[in-house]
Amino acid sequence: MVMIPAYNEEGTVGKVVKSTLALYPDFKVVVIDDGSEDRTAKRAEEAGADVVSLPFHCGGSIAVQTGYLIAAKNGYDYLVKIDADGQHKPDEIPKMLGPLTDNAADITVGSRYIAPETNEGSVVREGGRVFSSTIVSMFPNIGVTDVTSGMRAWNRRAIEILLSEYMDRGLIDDSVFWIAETLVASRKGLCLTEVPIKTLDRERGESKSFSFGKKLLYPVRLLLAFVEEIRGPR
Amino acid sequence: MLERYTLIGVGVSLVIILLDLYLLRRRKITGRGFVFWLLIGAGLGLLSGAPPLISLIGAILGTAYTISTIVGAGFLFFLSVFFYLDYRIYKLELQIAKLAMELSVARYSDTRSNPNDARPTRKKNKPK
Repeated sequence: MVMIPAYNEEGTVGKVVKSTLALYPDFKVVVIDDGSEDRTAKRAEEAGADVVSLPFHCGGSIAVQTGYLIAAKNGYDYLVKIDADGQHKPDEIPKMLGPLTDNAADITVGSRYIAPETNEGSVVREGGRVFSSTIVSMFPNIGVTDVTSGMRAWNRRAIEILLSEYMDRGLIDDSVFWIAETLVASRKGLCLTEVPIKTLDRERGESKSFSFGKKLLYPVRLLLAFVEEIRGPR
Repeated sequence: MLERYTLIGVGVSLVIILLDLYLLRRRKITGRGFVFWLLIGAGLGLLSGAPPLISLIGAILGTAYTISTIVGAGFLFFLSVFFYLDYRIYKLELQIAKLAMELSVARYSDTRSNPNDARPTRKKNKPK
């Protein structure tokens, strides 16, 4: 199953769904509409995707966790996440699934920084990425260069373990979701690997991942995520 | 003779406690809310009825005047209440998100199992 969380992406979601289905007609493509105020759900449906609509805007991490729930309930063996803004290339999905189908890993992270021609963002963003990736890599079983990457793939074992963790301990909030999930995966003994990917520039609009408030809160939330993980499960 | 502020403080404290009990009796307040307001009422009564306590707090805060102590302690108190409520809101938001998530997945599963019922059409009443 391919999940595409989307919030107000009517301009791009249809194209992303169509290009994914054109390459992999046998895959189930599910768009998680995160309470969009535009015609995102309609565009996704017209393009051929199944649409799961959250009743209101809950945030990207909740949309992703909704994807886990759907994959687990419907018994999918593998789950891949790509963005609805067209930044992730659907033709890289087999690369993401490779380590999972070979039983070499439970989770694949698409890294934008392994390939020689890397995508570089702003200084603040790069600093945050390097800092969080370095700290996260200090935990056992984790060696990642791009811990904040949103192009990921999971096998069924990983989905079930992560989902049960979130349902028991509570959902994880937006800003540090990927970092917290990577730490949970390490604690639960899930094997995580990276494959190089290339991302494209956004076709339209601006990223909704980091508002000004979230940027301000990011260091605090990051610190709390690390402290919580070091403290261990309650 | 009691000071006027002592009388006012103890009076307000009694009103808070009585109102709190009334709301609890009418089941208009949660158990947690009842305890919270009971503590506030009792604390206010204690501070008003025992002025040396205010002097003690003033010594801790390093304030010279009683009014500064009251304003300073009140500010710190409300700041901590604000942080606590913010934390509660955050937890409740996540719980609401969890419900929203489960609801949307249930709706999706329902649509998949009964594709014909996905969009129920409203029957128009024929005019008699």
